[in-house]
Amino acid sequence: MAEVKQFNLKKGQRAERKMLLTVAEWSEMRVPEGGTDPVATNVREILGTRTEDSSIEYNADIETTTDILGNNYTDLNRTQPEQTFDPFVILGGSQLGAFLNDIRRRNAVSELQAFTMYIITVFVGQAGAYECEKHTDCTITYDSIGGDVNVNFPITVHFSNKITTGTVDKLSDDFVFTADV
Amino acid sequence: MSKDSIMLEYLLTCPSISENSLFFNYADGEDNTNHFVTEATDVRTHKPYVDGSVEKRYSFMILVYKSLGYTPINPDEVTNDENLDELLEVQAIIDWITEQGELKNFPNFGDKIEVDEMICTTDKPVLMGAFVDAQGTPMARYSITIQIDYLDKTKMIWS
Repeated sequence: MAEVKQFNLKKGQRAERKMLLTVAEWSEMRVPEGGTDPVATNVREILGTRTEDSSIEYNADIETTTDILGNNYTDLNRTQPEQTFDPFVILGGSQLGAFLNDIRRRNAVSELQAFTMYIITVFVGQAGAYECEKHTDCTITYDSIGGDVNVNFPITVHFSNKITTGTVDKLSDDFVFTADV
Repeated sequence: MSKDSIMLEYLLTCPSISENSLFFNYADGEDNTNHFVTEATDVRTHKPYVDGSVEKRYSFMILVYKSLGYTPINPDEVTNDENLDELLEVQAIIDWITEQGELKNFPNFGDKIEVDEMICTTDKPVLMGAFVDAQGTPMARYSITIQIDYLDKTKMIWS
């Protein structure tokens, strides 16, 4: 069992919501600066712009039995973590929004299954090494498109549970993830 | 620069304002003067988002002073009325702000502030009463309230 790191908060201090970050990473074809031919490029984007409330729901699949003495026995079969971002409005500059919309118009749903997601807990660790969990082969689905005043395109992230724990060196798109040894 | 300073510079690009005098927080107006009056926003109306950005509102009022004529409406020339003309001059400020808002020509509050919307809260100037100034001139005081909704990214930890 690994050593549990304590929160980097003062005693009694609550962690602000912005300290729990979900970042999507995917690959798309882009023409590099000065180039002519598109090449596969990794792109990252933080999720949650214009979203007021979003939680990772673990959706635990449990089975509880009770013996004749009244004792409960709970089997936890699995968790299926998901996180919905609603609203996820169509915003100028949103690379993920543009990528998903391109998939939507082509109905190329198989391309929705190749995301790497990073969950960064800024309340654990310190500058230069915040704790992070990396999920590979995740799926992002778009749930609907439309709305009233602005175009809303809510999405749900389905985490794979193929987890590598580690740290990130900074809080920006160009962070470096270092896996725990 | 403060938002108020940036907004003053921005308003001076409005022809209907720049061709007359513009004052800041000075309430005692003379004919053909515009007065920028600051307003406060309740911080509880701020809307925080999960990425650390916060939606906020910046609002202020422009008071416009116009002298009033005491001439009855001529039934043969209804549109030729001094008071009506002056109302239209004030209306031109609302029209300019509305147009800039529709064109997304917003004031530049810096890299970490994204303006979403700029509107006048009324489609016509509000007549806030008439009075006689120190020189004995009857004056009308019109008000225009302007609201700017923006996304404040200054407290985000993600850069």
